[in-house]
Amino acid sequence: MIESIIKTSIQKRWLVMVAVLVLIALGLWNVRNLPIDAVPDITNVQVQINTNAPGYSPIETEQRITYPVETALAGMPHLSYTRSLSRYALSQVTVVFEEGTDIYFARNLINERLGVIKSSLPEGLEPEMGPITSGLGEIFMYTVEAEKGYKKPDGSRINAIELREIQDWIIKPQLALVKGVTEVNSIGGYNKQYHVNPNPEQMLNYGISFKDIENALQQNNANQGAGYIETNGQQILVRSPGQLKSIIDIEHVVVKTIDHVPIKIKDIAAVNIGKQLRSGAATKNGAETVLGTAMMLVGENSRSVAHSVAEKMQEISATLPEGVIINHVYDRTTLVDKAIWTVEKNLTEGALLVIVILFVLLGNFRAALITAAVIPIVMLVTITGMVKAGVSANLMSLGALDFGLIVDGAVIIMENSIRRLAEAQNNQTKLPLKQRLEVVFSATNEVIRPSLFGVIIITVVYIPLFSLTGVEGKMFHPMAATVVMALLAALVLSFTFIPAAVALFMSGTVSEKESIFIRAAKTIYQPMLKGAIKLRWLVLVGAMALVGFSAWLYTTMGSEFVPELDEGDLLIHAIRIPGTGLDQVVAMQYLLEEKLAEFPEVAEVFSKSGTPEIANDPMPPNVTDNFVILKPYDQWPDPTLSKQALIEQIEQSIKQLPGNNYEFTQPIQMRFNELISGVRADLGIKIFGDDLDVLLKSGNDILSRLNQIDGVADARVEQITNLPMLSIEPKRDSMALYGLHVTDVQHVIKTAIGGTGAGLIYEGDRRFEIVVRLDEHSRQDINYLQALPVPLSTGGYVPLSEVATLILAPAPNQISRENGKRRVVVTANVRDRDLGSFVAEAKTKIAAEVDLPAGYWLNYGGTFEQLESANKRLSIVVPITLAIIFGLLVMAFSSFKDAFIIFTGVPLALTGGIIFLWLRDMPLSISAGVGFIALSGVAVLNGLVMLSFIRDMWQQTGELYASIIQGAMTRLRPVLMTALVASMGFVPMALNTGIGSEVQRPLATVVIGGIISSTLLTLLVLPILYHLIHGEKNDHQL
Amino acid sequence: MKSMLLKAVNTLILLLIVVSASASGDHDEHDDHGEEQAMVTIDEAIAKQSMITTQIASSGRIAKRLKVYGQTEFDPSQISHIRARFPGTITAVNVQIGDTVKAGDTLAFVESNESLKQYPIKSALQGIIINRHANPGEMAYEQILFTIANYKNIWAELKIFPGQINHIKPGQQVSITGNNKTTGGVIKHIIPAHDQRPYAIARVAINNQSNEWITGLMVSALVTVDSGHAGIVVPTQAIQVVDNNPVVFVKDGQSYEPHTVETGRTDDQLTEILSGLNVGDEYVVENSYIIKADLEKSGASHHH
Repeated sequence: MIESIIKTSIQKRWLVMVAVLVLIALGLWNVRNLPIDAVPDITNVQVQINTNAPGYSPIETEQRITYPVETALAGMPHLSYTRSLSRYALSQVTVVFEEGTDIYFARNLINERLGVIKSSLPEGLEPEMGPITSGLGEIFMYTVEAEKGYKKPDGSRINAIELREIQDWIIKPQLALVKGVTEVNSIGGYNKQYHVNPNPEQMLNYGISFKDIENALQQNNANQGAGYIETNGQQILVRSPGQLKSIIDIEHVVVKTIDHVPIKIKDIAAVNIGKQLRSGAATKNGAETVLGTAMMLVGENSRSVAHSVAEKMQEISATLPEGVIINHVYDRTTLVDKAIWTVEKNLTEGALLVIVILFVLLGNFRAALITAAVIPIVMLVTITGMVKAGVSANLMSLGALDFGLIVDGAVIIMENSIRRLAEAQNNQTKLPLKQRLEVVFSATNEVIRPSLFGVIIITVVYIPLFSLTGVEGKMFHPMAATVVMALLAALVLSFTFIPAAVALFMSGTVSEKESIFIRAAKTIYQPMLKGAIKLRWLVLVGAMALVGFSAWLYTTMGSEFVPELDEGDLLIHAIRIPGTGLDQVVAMQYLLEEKLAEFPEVAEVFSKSGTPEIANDPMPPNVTDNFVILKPYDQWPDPTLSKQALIEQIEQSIKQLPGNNYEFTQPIQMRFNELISGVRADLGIKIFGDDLDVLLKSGNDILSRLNQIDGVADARVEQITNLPMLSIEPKRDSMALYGLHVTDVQHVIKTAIGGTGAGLIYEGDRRFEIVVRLDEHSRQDINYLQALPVPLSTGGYVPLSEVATLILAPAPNQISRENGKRRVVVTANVRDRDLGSFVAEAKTKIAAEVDLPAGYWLNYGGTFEQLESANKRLSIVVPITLAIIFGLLVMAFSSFKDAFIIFTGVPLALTGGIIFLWLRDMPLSISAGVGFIALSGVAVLNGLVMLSFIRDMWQQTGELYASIIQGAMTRLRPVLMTALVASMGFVPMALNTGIGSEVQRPLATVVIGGIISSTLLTLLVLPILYHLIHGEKNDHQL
Repeated sequence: MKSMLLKAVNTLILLLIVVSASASGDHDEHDDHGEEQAMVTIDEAIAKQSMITTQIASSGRIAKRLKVYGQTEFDPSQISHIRARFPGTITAVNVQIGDTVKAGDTLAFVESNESLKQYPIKSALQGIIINRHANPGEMAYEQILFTIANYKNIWAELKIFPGQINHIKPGQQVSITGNNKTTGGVIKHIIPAHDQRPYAIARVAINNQSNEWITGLMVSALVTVDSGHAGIVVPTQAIQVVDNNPVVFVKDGQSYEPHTVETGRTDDQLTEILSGLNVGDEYVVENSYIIKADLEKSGASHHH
């Protein structure tokens, strides 16, 4: 079949060219549609359901909101699991669907379910689905600030309330229109509210209750339409505007009339613009600010969306009030550009190196050009494939592309073609067309089998990557898919485009000057090969020793998970004890940010504390995300300082500040962690049940058992308690005496402390709540609250302490649930012991010693689970892959022996990879593993090319020794060429230190090192082995 | 040879498995926090930046005050309703509503029906005329002709609810606030409320020489229920709760040590320390929360 394809390609060579042109055009078209990002998106298919419940404590939130929502979601199709979080004023249910579920389908399902339960939720509370975005979604952040030194006409500074108003009503509505932006989130400043602060004494004086004030406000703040009238043929609309517009309007609302004297709001209360009870704050460079985040719709092109957001910002800036500026603090474009630049640089430089090598080694410019032309064509075809497969261009997906490797097949065919053409030309200057075509055909056909098998084998070795699941899978599937697509494209081109192009363009005299390089190599190689065959045992033992040495080296090397992508910026979680107030946190932030800004490497520091408006990241107020934007490395005082070293310096410095705990991460990394949110420890024991106290007690029991087991480290119970809470518990008997209901008292408490909404003030589109609550000073004073008068229906009052007990006691700060049940997690890591036996021991020990009450159960999870399943999968997939490769080799040679000989190339190739890693002081990682995988393929390809030729020759001549020498000499050039192009293609990657290079560096290092050792093997050890094994039959040569 | 090759293949398989396994087996490392030290060390400059302030423990006065509400009332002894002694015709009236009169001032003349003699009606009290039901020519029978009230001394009647009654005693100092004015006084006596309401009334005399106070005004009052000298007092904000115990942080150089204390009486600002703190100890007053936060921070973690 291949033969006929080659034949057709040569005959219909113009058609092939046209087809290639179509492919190029298609590729160019798709370049525009290719989503570009810095890193692959590892977020699972999930929908967050947030319900804001102002004033609700964690327990109430769970009982009234989280539970009904969770229950409603049970049994949805494609549902993987649900988890939930109930905090002060927020219920968040995260619904995770099976991989591959359409997100819009999922959201539709949820919407339908939520519609059913809406009536069973407390009045005024509305569950909302979070924005349709992913971990890569936060692409652009900006702060809204007052210009330095700017004062308003009245001499005051622009305050945080006004800035927030500008963000909410000027910037956000415009920004939300940008294509690809799904949501704009805000944190910091205060929502503007109109506050009515009644004076309890004045209220007593006039016998007015909070309810009276609320009613008065609500009944005096409405516009009413009244249809229309027709007068003299004219239709006149009727309306009665009665809305309150200003503080003065509110002050003049009449609450009650006593002896014909109207009592107005201003007689009993102060009215002013006040601050909402906020759940989050933002600071920048040590000052409070308003922070906006543009979130990208899932699947959009982050670079272009961030770009258009930045453009829109320019427009918006012009519309801002005087003295207000927008400051861009985080722009994903920067990172993407840097990452893409790294990839582009690697690919271009690699491609150029490959072209140079082709030219030098082939000694024919046209041939080099045709081979090199494969590179852009493959790239464009791959891009088309990526767009169709929905793979985005990023560091990972493009990270393993090596054009040297890709053109290997084409190189082999091209090399053979021009060698044969040159041979055929020996006696005449120019070949007639027919003969030329025949030569091209037979030359291609001669090497097509080994190169086909070789490329297929390289493709097959990528299969184990597809068996990775979860996060690893999401990171490496695109990489494997891209490489496989590129390899297949190159494969097809190598037996269609290459012969066609050779037939078409190599029409003149084919000059095949063996370059000096090749001639020099040949003069060195021949004696070396002969010597090696003489000293074959020595060479073999040496090779074995090398393998042994690198195996030992391997055991001493450190390992890391997926290499960390350097985002160029830092994110520092500053964590305080639960219950720390937002104002206290902001005060602590000032110091922290000052300290961070002292570092000359730091360009800017900004932070988010607590939960933003849309609770995509529901942090309690005691946790702060500090974004530390670093200057480009070349602007550092010491550009050679590693990021890790800088982090250590920063940690040393900020550790001195009291009251903060830190965790270091990076912005995108953090978002992924938040969204995936699994147990990241080795072992996670989840305890499910109803009573939090029992859960906690069981958790502590389990913790103490875990701590008795050898190899345990960092064991801890999830922190769920210790939120200080003031419980105002009604005294029912006492209340009965005064004729009060529980709700009467609760209403007073709620209004006095939390405030009660009493309508809206409209200012154009803007709308602001009117809130009735005590003034700041009174509502903060627990002693004052004790004496708070509660009005009686019979007139008069009773102090709060008379009808309720005020208790200050710690309470749960959050309630976590999973799959509809409360849970507490005990996590532990394992050191110096194998995970499997540790988990087994923990299971037996806990089963024997920990007594769980009825209705409580355990679930063992954690990384060990993934590890177990990954181990299981890989221990099946890897041998199968090896078997397939072996099978292919056997097919190619119809000989087990030869297949074995080629297979020995693999360990020797790995040897070089390991030694190079060790030399460069790099740990083992999945990236390096991918390098090893690619390497196995190259090693096999080299062996295949060499051995198939030797074998053909041996079959023709029957002279083993001579065939080996002759064959090896003839194949020296293609082997060197494929090896050189493959390793040169990776050289820029191995040396690059730009953003994102950390993923590619280990891979490239491994491949380069491995190719050197594998080439040596192919050139020396392989002929020896072949001679050794086949020599048994006729060993009379030496 | 074959066995060797097989071994090599096996090594490869092993290698691949181990590479992937060990690579995926890595995890976030957490710092070992070690055993918690019950001591916090903060650099002097940073303590200053964090606005941590200290004081030397000393004795002081505790004045525990209780907030109650009430109303101002007339003094019944300072109100006088004047009637005619003998029925007759009012011949002349000397005073208007609002006039100030002294005791013995003649308010009006009445011609007795029996003796047909004029006799004067005199004020028995110094005060202000607040009611007048008398005009020349009118008949004076049993009705009240004038009401004279003295506002120089009025009373605050404070409602004392059952939960508070144990603390309130006659003789206690009271600070009364109403209509943006504050005055001092003493609880004279405590009486049950009228018509069997479930509270008692504490009565406090208000000196109203300046005439600033009016009656019928809702007032709030702070009653000093417990007052006295205490061996050691600290501002209440210096006390933090650590492991369910009240503690005060004692500063020694750059280190701060939590002292578990036993607290006694407490008022709006100060708390008496019965034990755990010695006179002369330097302790943290403002921003003591930061030290508590630092002490407990090892337990602060952020789970996603």
